[in-house]
Amino acid sequence: MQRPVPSFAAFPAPAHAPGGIVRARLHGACGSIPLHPRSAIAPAQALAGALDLHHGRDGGAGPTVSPDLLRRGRAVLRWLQSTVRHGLAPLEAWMDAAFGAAANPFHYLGALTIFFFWIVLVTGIYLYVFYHTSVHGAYASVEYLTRQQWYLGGVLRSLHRYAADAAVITLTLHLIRHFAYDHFRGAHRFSWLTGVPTLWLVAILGITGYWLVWDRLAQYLAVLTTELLDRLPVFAAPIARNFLTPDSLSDRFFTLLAFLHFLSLPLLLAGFIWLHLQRISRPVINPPRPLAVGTLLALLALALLHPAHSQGPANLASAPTTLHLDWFYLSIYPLAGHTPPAFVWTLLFASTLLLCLLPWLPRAAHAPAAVVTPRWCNGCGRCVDDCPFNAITLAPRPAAGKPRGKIAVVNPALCAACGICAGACPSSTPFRRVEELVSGIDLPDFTIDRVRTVTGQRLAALRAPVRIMVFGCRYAARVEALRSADVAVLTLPCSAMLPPSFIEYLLRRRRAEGIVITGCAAGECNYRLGNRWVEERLARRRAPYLRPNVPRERIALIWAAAGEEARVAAAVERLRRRLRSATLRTAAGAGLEAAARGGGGHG
Amino acid sequence: MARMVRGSLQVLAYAAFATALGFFSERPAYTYLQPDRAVIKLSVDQYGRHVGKCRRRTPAELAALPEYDRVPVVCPRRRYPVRVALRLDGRLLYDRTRAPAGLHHDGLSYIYARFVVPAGRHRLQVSLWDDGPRAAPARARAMEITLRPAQVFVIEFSSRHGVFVFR
Repeated sequence: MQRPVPSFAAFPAPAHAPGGIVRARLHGACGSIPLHPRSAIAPAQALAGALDLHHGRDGGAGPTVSPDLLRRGRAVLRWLQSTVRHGLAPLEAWMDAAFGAAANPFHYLGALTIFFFWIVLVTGIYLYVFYHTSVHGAYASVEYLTRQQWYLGGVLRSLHRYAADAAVITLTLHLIRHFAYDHFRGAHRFSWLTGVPTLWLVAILGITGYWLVWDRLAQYLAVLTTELLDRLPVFAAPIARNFLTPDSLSDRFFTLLAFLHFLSLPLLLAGFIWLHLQRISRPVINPPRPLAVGTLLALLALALLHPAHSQGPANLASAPTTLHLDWFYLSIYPLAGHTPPAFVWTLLFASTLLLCLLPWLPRAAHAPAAVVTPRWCNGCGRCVDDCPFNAITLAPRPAAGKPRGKIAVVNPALCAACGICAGACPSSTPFRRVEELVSGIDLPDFTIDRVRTVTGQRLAALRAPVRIMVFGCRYAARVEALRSADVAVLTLPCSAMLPPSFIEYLLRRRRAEGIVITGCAAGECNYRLGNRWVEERLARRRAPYLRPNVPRERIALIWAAAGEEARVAAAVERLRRRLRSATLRTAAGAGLEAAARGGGGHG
Repeated sequence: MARMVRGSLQVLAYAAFATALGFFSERPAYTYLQPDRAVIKLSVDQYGRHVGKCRRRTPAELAALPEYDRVPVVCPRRRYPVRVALRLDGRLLYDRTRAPAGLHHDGLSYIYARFVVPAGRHRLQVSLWDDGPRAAPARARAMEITLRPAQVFVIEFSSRHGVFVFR
């Protein structure tokens, strides 16, 4: 069974290519991100659907891999992604109910991680002031903070630990979620790859942090870590010999640890976070204030109710027996204690390699990048501002064109083919009296001209006094089933591809009486900023604006994920009733007027 | 009413988050070493003998050299690997050979190993070979020891001291 993405299949073929090929390409492109977790379609069906996807010439099969193997690989990946999404869905739904879509922690996992790092940094600075970098001073100074200065140092120590643990949770969920939603290739590749070293850095920071305490846990970690490191061909002499006896350890070890934990690793981490955000336009680095305050209070309450304690001073003459591990950071250690180091390293390096290779895994197809038409690009920069992945820049216009000014330039490697740029372009207005509507920037497989043509054709086919045009989104609730005698439907790559001038065009030219725009669930826009740009354009806060003379009451905006089709249907029904009653009122008004006019005439 | 429900759900979410954090930050407890066990650590650094014989330079050879380079005895750089065997109560616990460090195989051979053994009275025998083909160990030591539970007993051999030290 094939996953229903009917809008593309129903889309007329462009003139420049055979319809079958284009359909397959588009189909493949949407197929790469198959189902929203709230969709009722089972993973098995998704798997079966995935198996049917590969029809077109853009299959992406390399010359050395058999197509069958490739297809199976894709199907497994897609099944895995679908399973994870279905697993996360109930949790996300609960968070939606508790926090609302605007403050759902699942929409701010990256920002929350950075927020936790801030807490760790601030509390860490205070702890560092009291920390002694010596064999005998390390444990004593941490104990002083925990016991004698419990009201501040102790609380901050606990906060430091719990914020670091919380960062592991949000970081892991952040990674899992981006994997599940296929946000690791194409435009996301750079962010994904720069995110991988941060996992290692966070883990090393956590481990060195536990070493600094120099308690029984630190002793255990020191011995096992150095034994693991000795298996790498890096050190000439085994560094585990530094922990043979109590007198084989020197203060310099703690100076080195402090240098790593307090300075070099945090700086590296900050650098990688900075890199991680470089290819993202308008990254969200701060969670909403209520969420930040709530999380901080939760951590503070935990720090007060369940303060972090050391596990007795380290003593290299005796081995620790039972330990209270921080499983967020140290879960690899029991494995290291019971398996050969080679196994642990293989596992770690293989996982890292797999994460690094994920962006290059073959996908079903990749929609072509946006294309700039120099004649119609005036260099306004709206597409540059609106692109969610910084794929567009402004460059000096070549001398052959206009003598001065700039022109948009698309980096195909970063372009996600969302069409938001076309929706932002001032030349994407259907009012232009040209045979073929050519925009300054457009998607080759889904042009603005085709949006105008198909919209016109579908509305012209309706035979009803009240006609509604529904613009759907490829990744949101499926809208094709809404087609009826009075409803025409068109699914766009992203609802932000629709310029507001289209709404004005359809309403003013009386092609439709009402417009419904749907998109991904609030806070879950597949292209990050699509929902936001649509809302701001319609609210006249962002160019291109919806002009004030357009009746806002004839427009319905609804954010609904796949599986929430009923909500869209309800919104269409509400608009239909509103429009019908308004039409009746207008007709009644016109009738009364005519009656009055007639009465006057008769009188 | 809806605000109250939402507020309660938020409190529940924060509480669940904090509980998970507090729990997994130190539980479940992990038993690294059973209470009736002890640890033996073996650490060795030793130069193997040179592979090949050392040779005394003739006066003519010495005279041909610059004054700062007139070393009377020259040896080949390459050394034999070092082998260490450890027996506990007659049972072979460890027997490994380690190559000398360095690109020219002229450095120290390092050995480090850790064993978890039952606490109590044991007989330890440790032997070291550093001269290649010879069958008899160059150094050896045996000792009766009593290990307390969780005790870390260290067997150390350093090229500086040239003897096995039990600590």
